[in-house]
Amino acid sequence: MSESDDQPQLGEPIYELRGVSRSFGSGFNEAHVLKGISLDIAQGEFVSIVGPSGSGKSTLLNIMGMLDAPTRGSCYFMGQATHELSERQRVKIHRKHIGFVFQAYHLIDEMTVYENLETPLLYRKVKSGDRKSKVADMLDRFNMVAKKDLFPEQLSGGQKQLVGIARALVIEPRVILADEPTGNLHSSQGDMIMDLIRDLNRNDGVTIVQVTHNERYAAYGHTVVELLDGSIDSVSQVAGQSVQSD
Amino acid sequence: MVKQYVSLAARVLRKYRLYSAINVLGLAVGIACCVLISIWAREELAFDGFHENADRIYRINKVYTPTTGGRELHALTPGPMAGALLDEFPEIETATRILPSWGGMLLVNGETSVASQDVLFVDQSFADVFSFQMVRGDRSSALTTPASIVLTTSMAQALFGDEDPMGSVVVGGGDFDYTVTGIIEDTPDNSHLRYNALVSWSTIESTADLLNYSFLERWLPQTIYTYVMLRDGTSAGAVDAKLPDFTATHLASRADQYSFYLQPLSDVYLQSRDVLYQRSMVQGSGQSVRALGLVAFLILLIACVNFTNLTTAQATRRAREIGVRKSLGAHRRQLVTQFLAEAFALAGLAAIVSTVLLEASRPLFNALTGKEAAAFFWVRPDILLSLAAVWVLAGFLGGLYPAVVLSRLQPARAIKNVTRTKRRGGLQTSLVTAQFAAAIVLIIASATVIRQMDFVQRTDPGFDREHVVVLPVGRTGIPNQLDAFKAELLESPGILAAAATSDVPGTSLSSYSVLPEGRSADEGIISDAVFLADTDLLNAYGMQMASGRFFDPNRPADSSAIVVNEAMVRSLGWTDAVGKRFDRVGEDHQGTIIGVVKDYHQASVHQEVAPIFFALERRIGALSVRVADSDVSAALGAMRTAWERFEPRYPFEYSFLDDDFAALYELDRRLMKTLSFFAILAVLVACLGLFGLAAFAAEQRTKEIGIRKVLGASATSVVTLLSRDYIRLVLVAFVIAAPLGFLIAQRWLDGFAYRINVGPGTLVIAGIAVLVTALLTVSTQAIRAAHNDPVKSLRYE
Repeated sequence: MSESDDQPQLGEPIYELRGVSRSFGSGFNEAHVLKGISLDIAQGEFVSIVGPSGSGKSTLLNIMGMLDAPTRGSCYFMGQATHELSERQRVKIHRKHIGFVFQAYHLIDEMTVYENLETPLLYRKVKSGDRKSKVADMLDRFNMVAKKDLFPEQLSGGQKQLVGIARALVIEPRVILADEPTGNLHSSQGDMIMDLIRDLNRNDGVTIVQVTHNERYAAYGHTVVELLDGSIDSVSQVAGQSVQSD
Repeated sequence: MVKQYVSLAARVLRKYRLYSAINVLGLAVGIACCVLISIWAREELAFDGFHENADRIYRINKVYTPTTGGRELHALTPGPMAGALLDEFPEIETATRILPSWGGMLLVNGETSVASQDVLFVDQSFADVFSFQMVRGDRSSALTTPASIVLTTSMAQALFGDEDPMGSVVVGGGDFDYTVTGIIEDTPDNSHLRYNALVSWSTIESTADLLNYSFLERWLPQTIYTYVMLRDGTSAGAVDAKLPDFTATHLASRADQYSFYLQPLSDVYLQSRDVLYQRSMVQGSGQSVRALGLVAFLILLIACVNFTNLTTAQATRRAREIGVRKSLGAHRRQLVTQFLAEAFALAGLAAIVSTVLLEASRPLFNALTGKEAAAFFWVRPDILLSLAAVWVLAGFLGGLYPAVVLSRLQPARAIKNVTRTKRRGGLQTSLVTAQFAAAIVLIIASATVIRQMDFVQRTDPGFDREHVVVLPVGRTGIPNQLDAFKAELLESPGILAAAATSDVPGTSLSSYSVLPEGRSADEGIISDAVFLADTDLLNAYGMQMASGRFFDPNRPADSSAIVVNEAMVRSLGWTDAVGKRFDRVGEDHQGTIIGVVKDYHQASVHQEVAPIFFALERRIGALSVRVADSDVSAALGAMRTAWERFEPRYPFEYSFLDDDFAALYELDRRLMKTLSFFAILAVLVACLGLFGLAAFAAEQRTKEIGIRKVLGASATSVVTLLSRDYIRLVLVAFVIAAPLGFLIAQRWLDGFAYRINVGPGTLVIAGIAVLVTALLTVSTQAIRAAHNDPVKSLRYE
């Protein structure tokens, strides 16, 4: 991996998907969830993927997050074909550049807020001192210092998602992949989370790919990709939104 | 990282308390059983290992093949053998002779007298071969001069109290003076050889008429033990190979009947169950060590299977967590470490709990093994080391499978918990099956032992062993005044009969050479056991005549008459024995058979009833007294009074014949107790694991059960649904275990000449017992699940 790959410039492509297909099962039971998706996403872009249930949104997001692999076609991340990487290399890129936010938060129930935030850093083998300061920064930034010793079940939905985002952000990723981040939240909490995500995109230059059902939240992004039955139905630019330069 | 693993493991354990508790308890019980059995087994296996040259020491045994058929092992050897071996075999460094005092010996110091069971006449070389520690006296000469005696510490204490016994005189066997030339340590617990005192061999040689053991100079009869120590680097096989020639040279007349061989010292304790004539020696059972070793392994296996299954089941509900961790950038190796850490924490906890169980089970351990363990007996480096080994083993077994399988999960699917559709893996099923198979084997084995022991109990010994009191009068002066003593006893209304005999049922008889009618002296001499008795034998023991009559006190000619048992008649191929000639060789004693006694069990039912003949002769070892069952204590009182009047020097001693007889089965009974105890424990541990699995399965299928109930399923059908799988598992386990258990049980039974057969009944009962226990365990969970409110369980998702 070259030096320039490590620090991609704004506007350069971060994702290049070429004919990505994903099917489950085989024979008569084979279900084609994605059918030949081709899509470019640029560094610093904010993309919303929308579409009805079962149209393949989450599968697409998982493939982009290297949690799943395409059956056919290829997915390039920062110029690297992900299917050509060994698991070790995939995990390495993943750790370095990708943060996940889930609809159901997926915090680890047996760990405190602090420990949940610390876990991705532990996996990256960040030194204890750095780890502490990074987690402290995140707690500060999201006003959660007082809640750091609570367990997830003691938090409200919005607070859990805050922790979820903080956890994705603590590794300072290039991309945040968010799978219906507001799906389980009330509208006021949803707005708060979406504003936060937009700020991350605008102020920190983090690339955002979100899956959503909510039209209003879809319009927070620059680009809306609509999926239907595993294929791209339409790609549209959102009026008034464009990729900002620093 | 490590800190996080540890605290996370602690939280997970606390959160799933039930599973953790079941897991820890099951494994702790398994570990504790395993440690207890291995402590015991190691002690058994280490018997006699304390002798410095243990690996070079051998006991000479012989295989005796009587011309009448059969095969016996004897520990007895000819007196001159040790010397001849030493002369002719360069491989042999030292040989030593031991003559046990078959009737014990009374040792007297002034007013103090102690009846000693185990007095051994030994060569000075005894001290060269064996490493028993001398406390006082000169090891190299204490047993050299005639009339020397070396006392054990306890015997010295009993005879002399605080006085210094060295150089003092002890009167032994009534009227012979011995000089104390040394003090030796008490027999260590793990020595097969037992002694209270050692007397120098030269005592016998220098006073030939003292014990009338002049035949120690001859090659027949054979009454002593011979131990040899080989030179370094020589093999027992080489000596064994030359022994047939040696026998042909020195004992030509018996070369075809006697086959001598070397038995390694390490085998003497455990592998001598079939060896006859082992006075002053204790025996263990190699079979029990093997059986319990297998049990220990099976219980540990069952506990580890529980552990693996429960941890695996437990871990599947954490699939989502694994998916999340992967999405956070966890490496597979890191996930494997996390799960291993949890398994190790759990196994470590179990190891700690097991030490508590070990300490608590000390009385049980003592009861089961007949040993006396001290407090914290398990705190030994080897035990702690094996505890650590079991900890690591269980940690790996319990952690590795879930760690490897789960960490391999596709994160995208794991997050959605898709893995759940597969309810139980093939491995888990096979493990549970193996577990039940192990439990069924154990139950078949212990049921067989219990049934055989019951059979032994109910086997008619051929005589009435109850209400017979045995007085060991052999070394006392009572035989000299026998008629008067008997007459006095019979005055007591509670005493029905008394018979003076050479031996009693349950002990080994002496063997004699005889020449039955119809055989020439060349081919016809047989050697058979003799029971020397007086005329009251039948009354005292309640034996029956098959034909003819027993000795009659009113017929003086009966003194040369012979009575035989049915086995003797059979072995000689006769139809009617009465009136046939039956001569005793070498004693010029010509006899005629006057009757045949019905077969009775002189030995334990391990052995076939051997041919025996009876002769009317007063070489008295014991007096057997039949008492009325109404007032045994009054009868005992009368015996004591008579004993103390006739023989004031010897303390009154007695035993009950049925107790003596029961002692023959002590090893079998101990095996029965331990085996059935551990079998029950194994089933319980297996059920503990099953309980956890069933609870887990019911919990996992909460939603399914809810839907089924909404669709109109009855509670019964739900219980059936949840239990069906386990019934199939037990059936498969039964198919595997039944033949295995059958073979093991048959092998154990082969050690008995009189035995039950392992019928289909035992197998089926074992299977049903396990099935019922398993069903009870599973159904408690199933019933609970079936009665859950379906609305609640569906809302839960």
